[in-house]
Order: sequence, then structure tokens, then C-alpha cells
Amino acid sequence: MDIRKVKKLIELLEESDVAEIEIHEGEESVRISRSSSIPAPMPQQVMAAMPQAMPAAAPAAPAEAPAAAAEEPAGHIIKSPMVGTFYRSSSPTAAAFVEEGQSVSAGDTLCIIEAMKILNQIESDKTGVVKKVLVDNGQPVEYNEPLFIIE
Amino acid sequence: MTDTTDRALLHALSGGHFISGEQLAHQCGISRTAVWKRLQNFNQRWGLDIHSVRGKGYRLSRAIELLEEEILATEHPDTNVAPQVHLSLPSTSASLLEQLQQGGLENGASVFAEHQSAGRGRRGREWISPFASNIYCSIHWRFDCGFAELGALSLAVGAILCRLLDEYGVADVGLKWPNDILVERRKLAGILVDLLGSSEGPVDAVIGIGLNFSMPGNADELIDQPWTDLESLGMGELSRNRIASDLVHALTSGLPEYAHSGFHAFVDDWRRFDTLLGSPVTVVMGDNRIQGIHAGISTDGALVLENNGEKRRYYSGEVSLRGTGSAGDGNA
Repeated sequence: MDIRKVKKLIELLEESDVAEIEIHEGEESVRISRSSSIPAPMPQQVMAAMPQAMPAAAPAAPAEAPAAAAEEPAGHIIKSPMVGTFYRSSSPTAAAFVEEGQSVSAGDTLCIIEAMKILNQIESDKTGVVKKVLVDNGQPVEYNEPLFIIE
Repeated sequence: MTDTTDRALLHALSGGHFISGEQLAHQCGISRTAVWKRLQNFNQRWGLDIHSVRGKGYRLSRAIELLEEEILATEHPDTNVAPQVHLSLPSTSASLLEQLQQGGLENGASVFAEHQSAGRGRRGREWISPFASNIYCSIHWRFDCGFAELGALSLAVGAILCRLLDEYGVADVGLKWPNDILVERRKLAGILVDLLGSSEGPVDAVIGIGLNFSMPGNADELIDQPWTDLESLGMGELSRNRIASDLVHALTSGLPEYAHSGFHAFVDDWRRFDTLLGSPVTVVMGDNRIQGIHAGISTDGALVLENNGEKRRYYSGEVSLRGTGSAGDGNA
């Protein structure tokens, strides 16, 4: 199917309140859905859309490799589960939840992502050391954007 | 409860009439010096305005109605979690979050405070919380789903609160995305939701609500945005205990609805109360400012902004009406 057609379909979907479009054209079919807006009937479906909290394809040489573009250091990457604003502390006057070099346990709060007046406390799913904080306080983050590297 | 004596003193004074130090001492079973010390303390800690006149005694500058755990418990025989009432807390939501981390909370557990010393607004802004003037409440709810499905929870709570205020007869009550409750562009109530849990669920939500009932005279000096309260809107006859009770009831029936059907069950109500539909607005996100026409909300609670015929959805940022420059925001 023509890629422009698919693009048009996506735009169409975005402008409407329709959650999903499925088009069949001869042998081909395409289904476009807005995963973020579908109140999934099955929890598994949502999980599939969530970041899999997998370590990014680890380059052989860890650390000290400041490749300016597409820097993907080794380690466990905590990604943003949502679109929102990234905050490192519970309030502007409070200390940051974590600093680089600090040890964290699984379940410790790493940051808050605020979206639509909801403060989502993001927990570490791994015990280790915070190697890098990838986003500045107060910056908008995208879905799946890497936030922290835990080693 | 450690504040039994404080409560007894406040009860004795709640009518707003003069009462002698001797009588207060007798009623509360403490010395006259102790009465004086405690009243000093009320003033210093909670900003309670207490007049003291030689020969007449003490008097609150205005009558107050204290929230009563007994009343709230009897009003909710169906709820197995009786609302807790405190004279003062740093913040009702912080209290519930702490209780949650110390070993779990029942669904629907709620906390009220007459005063908050560190009432929380969004991003550290303070929610001004004078004593026995308003409603400061937080409630806990556990959802089996993950974060992704709870994105519009704060909007749903806004719709729940608007329904209640509408039932009371508050004229022109409306919502400003995502969930500020306004009457004629003045803030009447604020909602802030904390979520804690894993991406896949379950997630514990602590929902904080601040509802202005009867602000003291000096409120303008304390609040940095246009505000209103139920008293100014002609609803001063309502009982605070009744409002507190109705609030718990509205939430404990509305939240399971969200757990079951998501935001779909609330989107029509939200749209019914939308105050900025069709207005020119600015959305501020960090350093970005986006202008457009407020084209309502999508079914997942995002703000839809129309710009040159193109519609885009926004999930974060602050909305202000263009030309007013007020992005006012604060919460329970």
C-alpha cells in the first residue's frame, strides 16, 4: 500500500475520535490504532505497548565513549512510560530523588513525570547505581524516551 | 488522639462568641494559663484569628464548623473505611502517600485536614489552606491497570467534582483543562493526583482535592490568582460536614466507574463543563508557547488545539486564555 495513503490514514485518525482504522485492499490490509488512547480490554495489550525495560543493544565498549551522535551507553535504561514533563524532585525546593553515582534499589522513586495534573512517580525496576541522568529537570519528555541509565 | 484538648477548645469557641478563660479552662479540663498558651499556639501555627478582650474572654473572629469524624462515619455506613479528620497536617496527600508506603491502604481511605501547613500545588506551588475555611481532602484508590490507562484520571475527578457542585446549584461551574474548577474564570477548586506503581499495574492513586468554602478576609494577600469560594457564590449555608461527606460519596462511586470503563464514562460530562471551548489560548510547555484555538478534548483527555485548520493533541503543559496572561494553577 502506498505510504502516502498510510500517512493520510494516520492524519485522518488523529483528527477524529476514532481509535482504530482497518483497511483491506485486495491482498493487502493495514490497521492503524491509537494505542495511547485505547482503553485496552486486555491488560496484556497495554503491556505490549509499554517500554520493555530492556537494556539497549549494548555496544561492546561501555562508558567513556562520548560518541556525540546517538549516544547509547551500556546499562539498564529507564524509559518514560508517558508523554509529560520530567521532574527530578517532588518540589522545586526538595532535593532530587537521585543523583548520578547514587545506589538505588528496585522500587525506589527516580523521578516524577507530570502530565495532565497527574504526578507519576517513576520507580526503578532494577537495583544498581545511577550512571547517568539523561534529561534535565523541567524538560518535556516523549513516550519511551530514555531517562536514566542504571548499572 | 493527641488533639482532644485542642478540639474541645475549638468546639467551645466555634460559635464565634466571647467565652471567658475560666469557662474554657473548666470545659477543657486545663488551667487558664494552658488555655492562653494553646490559643497563642493556634494563632501562630494555624493563623486562627482569636480576639482577646479583658473581662470578656476569647472569641474567634468568625464562627467555624469543625469537621467531625463521627458525622462522616455515620454518613457512610456503606464505606468500610471511615474518613480520618486531622486538625492540621503538612498535606493530606503527603499523609496518605506516607501511610501507603508504610503498608497499604484500603480502597477509599480518605483524609481531611482543617489546616495544611504545606498544602501542595502543582510543582511545589502552595495550596493556601487556612484553618476550618475550606475542604482539604485526599483519597486513595488502587487500580489494577497500569499508568497508561490512568492518564485522564485527573480529568475524570474534575468531572466528578463538577457534577457535585452542579447538583448543589453552583451556577456556571466549569472546567479548565486539565481539571481546574472555575466559576467565571475564578478558581473554586483544584485537584492533584499522585500515582505510584509499576507501568503494568497495579497503580495506587492518591487524589488530592482543595475546595474553597469560605476564605478568610486576608486571602487576597495569600493567593496569587483569581479565586472564589462557595460562600461568595451564595452557598455559605452548606455544611462543611455535608460537603466532605458528599465528596467522599461522589469519589467512592465515581472511581470504580473509572476503573471499569475508563475516561469514556466521564468525557461527556467533562465536555459539558468545558469553559474554554472555542477560545484562543496559549499552551505553555517548558520554554515552548503554542497558540491556537481550544478545540476541546479528545477521548483520552488530551487537549486539542487548532492552528490554521490543523488539530493537534497535547498531554502536558499549562493553558492560559490569551489576552489575560494568567496561567493560574494550584492544588490540594
